[in-house]
Amino acid sequence: MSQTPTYIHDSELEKQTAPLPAVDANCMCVTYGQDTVLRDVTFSVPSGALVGIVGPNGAGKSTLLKTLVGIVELSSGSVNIYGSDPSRTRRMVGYVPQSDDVNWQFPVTVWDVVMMGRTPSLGAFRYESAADKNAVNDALHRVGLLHRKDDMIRSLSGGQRQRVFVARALAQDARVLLLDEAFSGVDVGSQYELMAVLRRLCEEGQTVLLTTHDLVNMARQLDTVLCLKCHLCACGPPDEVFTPEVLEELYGPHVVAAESGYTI
Amino acid sequence: MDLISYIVEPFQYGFLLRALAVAVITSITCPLVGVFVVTRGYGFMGDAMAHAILPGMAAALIAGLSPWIGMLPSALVFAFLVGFIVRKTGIQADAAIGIMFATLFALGILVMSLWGAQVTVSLEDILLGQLLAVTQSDILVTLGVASLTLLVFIGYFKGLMFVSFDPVGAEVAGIRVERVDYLLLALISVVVVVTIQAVGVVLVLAMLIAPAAAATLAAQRVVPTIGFGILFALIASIVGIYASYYWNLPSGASIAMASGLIFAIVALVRRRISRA
Repeated sequence: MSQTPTYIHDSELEKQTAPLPAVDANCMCVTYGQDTVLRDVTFSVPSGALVGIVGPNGAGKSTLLKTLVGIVELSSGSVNIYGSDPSRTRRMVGYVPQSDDVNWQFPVTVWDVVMMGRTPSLGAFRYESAADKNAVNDALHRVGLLHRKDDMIRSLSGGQRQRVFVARALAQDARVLLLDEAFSGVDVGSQYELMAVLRRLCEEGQTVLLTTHDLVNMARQLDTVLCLKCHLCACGPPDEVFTPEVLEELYGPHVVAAESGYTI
Repeated sequence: MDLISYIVEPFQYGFLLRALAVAVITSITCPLVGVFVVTRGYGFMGDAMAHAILPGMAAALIAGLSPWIGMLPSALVFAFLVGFIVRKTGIQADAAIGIMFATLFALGILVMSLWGAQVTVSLEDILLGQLLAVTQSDILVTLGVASLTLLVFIGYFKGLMFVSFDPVGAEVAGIRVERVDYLLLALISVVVVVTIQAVGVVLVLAMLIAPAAAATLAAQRVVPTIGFGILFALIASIVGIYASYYWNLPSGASIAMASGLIFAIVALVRRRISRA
């Protein structure tokens, strides 16, 4: 049932990581049947960066994240995670799904969710080792939720749920974290809390890519923003890329008027 | 009559012992998949599947074969056709399930009414189960199928759990989500077919859903939830069999009533606890 992706050995990894960017996309194209979802997307994310992807619905934000975990294939171009094809780096990339894609009614505790990062697939008759348990403890500690480990995931707030999924990615030893719709359904206070956790993880060497619709509060705290509308409209620090021209291209003329107080 | 003999008396009859054996086995398998059925919203699917096996069951009976031979293929054909309709027409899954539910159940009734005259098993027996008419070989088949289900279930447990909770995350983690989903459907089919023997077509949900649903109110994690589900199903089966013996009631209906009552009690207790 589970695929057996080839993982890179740690020693090999160490040799490779130092000079290599965490994510390196080159003329990346994705098509679904007749539709082009991503066209000639080229960008590079250095290790330790906190990067956002913004753009309207249907702009290919989620698709871009899915190419990085190797579940959406490119029709042309290339993308590498620390110099390797995403199909070989599954363990290195942690993924936090959109809140809508999760079955919150399922009876699991915070601990169970994070443990999924350690023992994802069946592992028929395989039980959790002490190393697994330590990794889960450690990951929950890093996102500040160790005290909630026995609570049901559905009893947590939106922001806490996101942090639990971040912990799952950490428990799997991911070095690149992807968050789809990172701040949807998260109240403003918790958004800043989540951002602070992500920022701290970046300082510890993780690389974070997240998609968001929140241009006003959240996108502005990021190191780099990729403005995506099937192709890359702009890429750079938020203050530089959120120009009226780029915003109009992304969202149409109305947004520019509303946003101009912040951008100019 | 003292309590001991009150408890022991029914089981001097072989047919009641056999009924108990089948009821115990289904009480273990049903909540196992039932917890996934309940938490993934597959309840209607389970109900429909139980009804959609009628044509296969009827055909097997008329051909003079064991109903088992017709039931399982029917359930799998049903699951396949539902998936096929959804993929080809793009209509909602519950509508596709409704179409196949009605059509296949109707086909079964037509088959029974056209060629079922010489069959000793009545439609009512099929619909309400014939727990008290269970044979030795029925027990063996039930036991074999149940053990197989249990083994597959344990082997794929983590994958089933991951896919049921977070399908996108599971796909990213390298789990073949579609395959796990089909496996779950196949497990549901098998369990439904086995359960029909005990409580019949109409009352399968009494074993598949009610104990598992009550268990989700009683426990917080998957394994304890399954444990509570098995406990509730066992109580329902045993209470149902005693009620059926002492008050001369249909066994399937008694078990289903007991199961419904247990759910009501658990829901009420939980309300009191969460208020306090």
